[in-house]
Amino acid sequence: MSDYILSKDYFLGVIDDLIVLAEEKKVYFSELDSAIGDGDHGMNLSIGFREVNKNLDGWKGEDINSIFKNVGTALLDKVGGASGPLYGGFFSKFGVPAKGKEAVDFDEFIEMMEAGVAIIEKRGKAVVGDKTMVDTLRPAVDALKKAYQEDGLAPKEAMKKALDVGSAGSDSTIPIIARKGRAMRLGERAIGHRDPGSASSAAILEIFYNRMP
Amino acid sequence: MTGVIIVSHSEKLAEGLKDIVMEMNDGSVAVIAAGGAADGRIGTHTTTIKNAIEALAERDHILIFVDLGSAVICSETAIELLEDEELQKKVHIVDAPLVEGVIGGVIQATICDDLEKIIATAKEGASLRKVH
Repeated sequence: MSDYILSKDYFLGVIDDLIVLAEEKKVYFSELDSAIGDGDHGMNLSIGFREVNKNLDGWKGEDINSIFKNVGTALLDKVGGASGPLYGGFFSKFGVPAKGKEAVDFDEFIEMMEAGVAIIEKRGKAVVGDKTMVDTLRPAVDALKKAYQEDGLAPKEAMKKALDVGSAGSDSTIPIIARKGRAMRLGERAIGHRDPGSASSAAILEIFYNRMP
Repeated sequence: MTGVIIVSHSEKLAEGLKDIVMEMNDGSVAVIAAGGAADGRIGTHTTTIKNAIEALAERDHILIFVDLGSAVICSETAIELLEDEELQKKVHIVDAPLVEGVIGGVIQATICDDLEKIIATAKEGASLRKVH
């Protein structure tokens, strides 16, 4: 246990930044997706987070869990394609360890990350090396745990480590073929292209890092 | 009695396939087209699929046929999100080609109520020879 606290305001700030991210990177994510998928990843996230933006004010009085459950449900319902259940699942489960809470400590934050990534792995049935968002998220969460719980890094330094490892994980999708998703059918034609889900996942981690006190 | 859900990225494809198969359905099989993203774009939509399952709740078994990729994840998530565990157990995603699978499965379901036989017939669609 530590006295490092992440408050509800931190998480609301993260959600604000996610809404901005989904607009700013809409074209970039869709371009990545056009190369090896159906080209709608950016559009999908934008539609999802616009829905979040529309309703966020009404959720602010709730606890951290309920806020993220609402975010997850909005994404699940509005985001077409696999990212709906995947990111929808991430945010729906992310808040569960913070049930009834207005703030969490860093161990609880790590539990939240683990819960979110676990549902993506479960629903997507993907493992590291499949050229998916898991290539970013699984190594990042493992690095986060190790950095904070074993190596004793301070919370924000540990999250920086997680972000660096996650970004490297996204880079690692470039030279490989895909074993999941639409890109799987492309075989070697997918080589040389970054997986769009791995890119959006790294961008999401960056927001969690940037907002940390 | 069987219920069938057609999950395609295209709303038109799902509706069109439903039109084809209804010509051979004697009315005993309920078929729901659950294609497209929420706003009519190309995609698949978990909530649409979940609503279709719930609409078929009275059926003995519910078979979901999918085209590709996210159709599977969205269907699995729709099943996971059902609050009724008994209903959950009735739903099966069939690993069959969409067009041949739906047609074979629905016809078999008009003949018998044996779940395994219906699924087996639908799966045979994968090895159907069309050109001799």
